[in-house]
Amino acid sequence: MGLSYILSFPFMQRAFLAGVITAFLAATLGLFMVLRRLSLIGDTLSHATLAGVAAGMFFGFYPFYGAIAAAALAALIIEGIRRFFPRYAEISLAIVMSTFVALAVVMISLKKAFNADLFSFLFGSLIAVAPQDVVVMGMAGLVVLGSTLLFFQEFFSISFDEEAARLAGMPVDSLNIYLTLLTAVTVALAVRIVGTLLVAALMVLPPAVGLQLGNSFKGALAFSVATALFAVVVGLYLSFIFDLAPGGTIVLLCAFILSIVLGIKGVKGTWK
Amino acid sequence: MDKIEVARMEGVYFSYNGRPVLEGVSLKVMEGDFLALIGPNGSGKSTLLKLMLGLLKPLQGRIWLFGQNLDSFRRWDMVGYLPQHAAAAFNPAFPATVEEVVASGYYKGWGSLWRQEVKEAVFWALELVGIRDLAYRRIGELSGGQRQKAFLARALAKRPRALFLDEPTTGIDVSSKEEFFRLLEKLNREQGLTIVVVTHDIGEAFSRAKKIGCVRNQGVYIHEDITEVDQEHIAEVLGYSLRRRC
Repeated sequence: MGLSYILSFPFMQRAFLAGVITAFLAATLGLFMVLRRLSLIGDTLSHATLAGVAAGMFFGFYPFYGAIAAAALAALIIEGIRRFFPRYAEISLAIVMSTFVALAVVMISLKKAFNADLFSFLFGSLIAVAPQDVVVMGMAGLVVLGSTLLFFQEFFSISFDEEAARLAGMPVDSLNIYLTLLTAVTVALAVRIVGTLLVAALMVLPPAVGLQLGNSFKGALAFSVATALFAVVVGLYLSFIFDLAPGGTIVLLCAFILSIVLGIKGVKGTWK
Repeated sequence: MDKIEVARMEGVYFSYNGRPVLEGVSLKVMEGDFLALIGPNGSGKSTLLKLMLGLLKPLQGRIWLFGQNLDSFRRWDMVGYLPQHAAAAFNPAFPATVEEVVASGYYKGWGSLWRQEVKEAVFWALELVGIRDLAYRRIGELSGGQRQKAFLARALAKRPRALFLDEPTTGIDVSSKEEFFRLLEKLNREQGLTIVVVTHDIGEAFSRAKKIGCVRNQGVYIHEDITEVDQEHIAEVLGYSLRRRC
């Protein structure tokens, strides 16, 4: 079954378009997160999106918008709480994740909304990507991509050496908040494809490949994006052909690529 | 013509968790100075430097950079800084080339990365510190001395008028230390760069710096004439003897 046949289905066109946007953004923002030792923030924000989805179902607005709003709100709360625990930054992640998930569970149970729509957010879905989702993802994707290009040097600097970045004249506190907000939006977008439970993996595994293969920051970024794009395109293809869960397939492909890279490097290291 | 006042502190107090570190410190750094701050561990040398740069806030007192109150100072392009942890506590696995690291020190607002002047500034700074040939090497692959030069190039890329260094030769070998201080002396002499360096390398400090600042007992004493400082006094400052006082 060829790619052209699969792309003759409108829902698969949308899934591929959304997937490519997601892969590009998740791999880029994920690299910054990994280098800032904040790998788990993706996990926290993705779980926080559940509260937004649940709020959408509870109050009757479109759950995807709720997911974006909840991720952004969670990001701001994380930054706020971190100031109270400067030496225990991970506490803020645990607090926000548990609180937002608790909120989601309460709203879902009140509404008795354990349905297919909720499961599409938990595990990702190909047919769940609606035309309006693609429009929102395209616009949000442009904002995130534009911001990343515009503030590339700033984001690199605060990831590499925050103190020196401050002395170079960069508004470090504002940049930290903005980068976390961009990450939150990316997480919310990725939830539609790979699902809440696997977003964090899409933001960590491709950067892990990039870190192994890249000899420069731009090189690591290129490998990270290439890995994510490959995994998403091939993963969506395989999940259509074999009727697999797209999120799981994509993440397993990322893990497979990483294991090959680590294996080859391990063998090379042994032979040296 | 009068020299410009690069940094000035007046009546500065600072404490960590209630333990006083600096009490009523006043000092001036003038344009063209090469000031080495020495003192025992925990005496407040690095704290003093961070206060000068606004990285820490004083409990009391006032600080100026280039004649402007630190709270309203925005000309960070005039100030270069090499932090204490730059080479010692640096993550060698960070995927960055020397060029990328040095470019991060040249900041001219949004979209800086895409400007041609950044590349020119980076290679000018690398040439200045003598590691142009290492531009495309990964920073983690360099030796301690080379890495420290890369960080120095990062601080110099924006062509600052004053350079502040916090224990820049920690963790590098003796010959690299000598070479590093020789480079600082050259920058001070030939480029007219004002230098303030916190260091434990007493020998290098005395052979290269123009002024010595002794930091101890919550205070600072600046020796304008380096010849007035003898070995017995240094030993006393560093805590080996308490027979004389600054």
